[in-house]
Formats: sequence, structure tokens, C-alpha cells
Amino acid sequence: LDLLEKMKRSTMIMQRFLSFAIIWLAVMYQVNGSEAKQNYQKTYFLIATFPIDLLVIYALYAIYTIGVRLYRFNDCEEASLELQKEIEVARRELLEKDISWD
Amino acid sequence: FKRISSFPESALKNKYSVLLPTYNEKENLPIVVFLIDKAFLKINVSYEIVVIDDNSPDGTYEMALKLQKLYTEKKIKILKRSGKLGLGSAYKDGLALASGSHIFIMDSDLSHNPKFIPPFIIRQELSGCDIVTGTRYSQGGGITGWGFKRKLMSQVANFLALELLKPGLTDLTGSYRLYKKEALDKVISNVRSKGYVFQMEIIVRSQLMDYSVNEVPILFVDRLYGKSKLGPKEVFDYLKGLVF
Repeated sequence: LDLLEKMKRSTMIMQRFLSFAIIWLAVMYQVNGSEAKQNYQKTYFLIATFPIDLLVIYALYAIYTIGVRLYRFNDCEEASLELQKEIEVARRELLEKDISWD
Repeated sequence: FKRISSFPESALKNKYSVLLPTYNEKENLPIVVFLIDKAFLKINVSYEIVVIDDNSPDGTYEMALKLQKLYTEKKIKILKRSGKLGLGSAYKDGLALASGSHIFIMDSDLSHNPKFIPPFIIRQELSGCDIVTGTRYSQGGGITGWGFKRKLMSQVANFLALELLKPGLTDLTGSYRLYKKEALDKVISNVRSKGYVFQMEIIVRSQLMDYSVNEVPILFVDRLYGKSKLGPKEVFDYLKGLVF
């Protein structure tokens, strides 16, 4: 029953994708034979390239988001130094209690 | 930073079990144990450590025995396994030994600093959430020791995971976490994947099972000692695991 839950999101994505694809294909099929194609060249162009446009916009969004995250990435050198100090303290105290390394 | 005037008293009635899977951590284990003990002592909360050693050839088990003598058997439990049986099963086996009401999981190679234990506890007590996961990517979190290629890989992988799964979190593959025992018990028996995906699957499944997950920023110090385990195979498995 919980596999069904996991499937919910991917089936939703699938459904949306298929409905968009069908609508798009239907529109393209209808329009391709008609005179409307001649008269409305700009709109036709928009509709025809719609899927690729979506992909490009999504790719740009992805690159932007990843870029922002990389820019804000926190390189915490101090954490490494602090850790090394803590290790020193730990080693000393453990040595007193007879814990040592070979 | 949240200013807390005092440590939440509700934590004092809890006992926290820290699961430490180890493989060849003879050098780091004593330090981790020392720091965990220091962290819990500071907030005066009762704890225990469960070491799960996969038959390390370098003598990690023997070191764990020495530590057990020093800190007493009440504070340190040890489970010796026959070999490398995987992180997930290490958690399951450690869980069986754990007597605490709450379970910490963390890495024993000092990439996770035990000094963050109090923030985890504070967040859980104040919010009442079932699971707290440490995030390296959100405000206050950080990583040191990563080159640009590694950072890029992690951000791309992270982006894919967040887009596909939309969990409302910033770091899905972290392994520094605090669970309520019942939550971990219920979720872990259903998880099937390995490696990085394992950590992701736990969180996603818990959310599907309606457990609440909060995040706490942590600083991750990558491998002062030891070698990194991220190779092309791991990346492929990760992508595969994401889709399925």
C-alpha cells in the first residue's frame, strides 16, 4: 500500500505530461493542414516550439538555482581548524586515561 | 541563531542512543566517543553509544573494548559483525541493542562533530518533530574539504533529488540525524536501498508515513583522515535509486 503512495507523485507527473503531449499533438495536427498556418505564422511558431521552450526554460532555471547554491556554499575552514584543536585536547585527555594509538 | 535562554527540560527525561557504525576507525573512534561524552555531559542528558563494527582489520573492535572499560558498559555497547554488511543493516542491528528513547545516527570518522548534538536535541524538543536531520546546505550549514568538482556534483545531485521528490528540505543525503525510536523502528524495516540513496529513502519514507522532519544546520568536515568513497559507481546507483 505504501508503494502506491510513492507512485502517486510519479503518476501525477506522468498524467500531466501525457495530457500536455496529447493537447499539443492534437493542436499541431489540426493546424498543419489549414490556411490558418499561413496567416498566423508567429503564433504557430510559438506553439510548435512549446515543448522545447519549456525544456530550455527549465534548464535555465536549473543552472540558475545550482549557480546560486554554489555561490552561497559555505566553506567553513574554521570548522576544520576547530576540530583539529578539539582532537588535540581529546588525545591528551585520553592519553591520561591510558588510551593510546600504536 | 536562535537564542535559547535555557536548555529544554523535557530532554532530561529522555535517553539518547548514538549508533556508530565503524569500519577501520581505530584512530577516530576514541576521539568521537570522547567528544560525544563531552557533549552530553555538558547538557546533563543521559546517553549511550552503540558501536557496530564490521570486523575491521585495523583493530577498531579492540579499541572499542578499551573505551568500554573506560566509560563503562552502561555507556558503550559493542556489536561485532562478521564483515561489511552494509550501513542499513548496521543501523538495524544497532537499533536492536539500543535502549534509548531517541536515536542519533552519525559518522564515526569525525566528519560529524558531536558538538552539534545539543542543537539537534533542542530543535526536537522545541518543535516536537519526529526526526531532525543535519543539513550542510542551508543557512548556518557548511562543508570544508571539498574541491569545486565535488561541490558541483553534490549540488547537481541535490537539485535532481529535490526536484523529483520535493521534500521541503535542503539536504537529503546527510547521515547526521536524530530520530524518535518508534519512528526509526517503523521506517527502517521498509527501506531497501544502499549508500547515499539509503539516507534519502529513509527521509522520504518517513514523510510518506506522516512523520515530521526538521532540519538543523551542521558543519561537515570531510575526511581529515581516510579516503573518500565517492566514485562513478556510487553516482550511477544514486541516479538509479532516485528514479525508482
